[in-house]
Amino acid sequence: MNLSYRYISNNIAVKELLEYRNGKSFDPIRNIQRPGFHLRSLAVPITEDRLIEIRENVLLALEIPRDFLGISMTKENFDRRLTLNCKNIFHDLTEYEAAQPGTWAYITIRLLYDIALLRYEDHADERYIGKPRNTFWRIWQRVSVLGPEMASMLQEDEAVQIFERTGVIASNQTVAQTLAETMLEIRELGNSEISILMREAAKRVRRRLTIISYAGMQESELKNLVKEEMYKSLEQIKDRKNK
Amino acid sequence: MKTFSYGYNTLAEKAVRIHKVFFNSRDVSNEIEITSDIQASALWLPSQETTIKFEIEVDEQALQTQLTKQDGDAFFVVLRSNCRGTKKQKSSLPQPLTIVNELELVFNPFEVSDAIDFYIEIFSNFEDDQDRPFGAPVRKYSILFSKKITAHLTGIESRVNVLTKNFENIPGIKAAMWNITLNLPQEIDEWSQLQQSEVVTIEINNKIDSKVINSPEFITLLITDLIYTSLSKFMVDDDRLTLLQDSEIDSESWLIFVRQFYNALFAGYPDPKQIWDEESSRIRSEIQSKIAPSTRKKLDFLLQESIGVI
Repeated sequence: MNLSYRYISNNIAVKELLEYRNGKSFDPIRNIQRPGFHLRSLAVPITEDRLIEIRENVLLALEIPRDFLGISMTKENFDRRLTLNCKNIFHDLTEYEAAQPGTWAYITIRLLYDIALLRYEDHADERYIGKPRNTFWRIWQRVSVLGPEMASMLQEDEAVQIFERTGVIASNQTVAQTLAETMLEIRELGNSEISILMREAAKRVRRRLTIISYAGMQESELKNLVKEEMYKSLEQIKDRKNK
Repeated sequence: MKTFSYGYNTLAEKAVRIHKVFFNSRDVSNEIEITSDIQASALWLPSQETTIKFEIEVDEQALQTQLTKQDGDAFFVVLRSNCRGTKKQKSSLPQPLTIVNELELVFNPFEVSDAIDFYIEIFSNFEDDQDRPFGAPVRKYSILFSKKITAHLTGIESRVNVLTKNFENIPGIKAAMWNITLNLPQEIDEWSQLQQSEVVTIEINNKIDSKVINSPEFITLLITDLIYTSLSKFMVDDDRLTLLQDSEIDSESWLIFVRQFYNALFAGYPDPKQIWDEESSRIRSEIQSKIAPSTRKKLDFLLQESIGVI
């Protein structure tokens, strides 16, 4: 279906975020009914009921009641629960709409602001407005590339290494998935160097893939190459440590 | 024996020419300028499956003389894409390089937005563990040639607010066909950061038949009015004009939209304001003339999908 989510610009999002920071109360139902958003023309607008459903489903996924004031949650739990349910919650959101910063600015500022606060109490702009580090956008991106199961098993700093190097790595599903799979495999073996491994490996893979035509490779060859580079990184880190 | 690489020979930029471009089997080579930037907005709808095909021609002599190869080496060509908006990559199956190659990718509905970067890559393949001649690549799949082409899509354009409205009780515009409102902040420093959809609202009189609204003539006049009205906001003083003239200013979709037409109309003129004041009727006609062909093409797509403009 040619459905349009609602958009607000980052300018508006920043202004509204500032109002909340200055103490304005947040009321999602009133926000849904308020004008001052944009729709993609040539499309069927998302309904108010559907927006309420999205909010309800986020609350359900996070296992918190409607009136959750005072509840706290670990960052890991927040991300994991949302990651596992993200595709269901936003089942009608297309890649096209998900790529629009305004979509996430609307969802976060008008609909889920209080819920995002559970994850990022510091109000940092980039977690609320339409930026790739937005509370919900980052989860959507991880799920859409890695799938919910694998994405939920990655730790935050590991995921950041994959998804904030989008040039080759995050945008190529085979590369991103192999990095994540190998990461989990190495972690399983109980390696203590794990925390810096992803950072080193992501740089290494990126360097390697700029000089060869990975589009020309068989999928299995590309997977082997990424895996090989990750294990080389691991060896290098161990060597450095032993010196 | 271990082979060390001191770099290898590659094909020169001019050795590969994009001969033809097809959108959904239609040869559009004569409708667009085939450069590293293709304006594809008029050829694309996000909700439609789109196939893009490039026909490339390789200079045979360059192929023989510029690359170093040995027996058993084979050259292949592949097309890959990276969508700037959705950050998704695709690639075609590699095919053996010949003098003329056709490379094609299919994009599903809503799979891409904003712009797609295409890369035409020629690479070599050979048996591993061979001694390699000086000037030939040592690693399999080494890129021998790469060309980037960006197709700009319609994401920005499609987010203008278009509404139908009863004009009956609005004094002064009762019989008007449309009413364009530009919502611009007082502070012009903010203009560069505005999205098209924040600024532009087009209200269309609901008395007008939808067949008329969906005609290329109606849309051409409407868009001409929008562009003219938008440009007029900048022709007031030099500060505003600088926003259009200085392409280094970091800009959002509203300014990009207006700047695109400013450049098309006034590039090279020393005093655009004077021309604006003295030749306004010619400028209107020139805008019409520039947008009419793309409007017609865009409308063909919209009507094919039975969507229409509103």
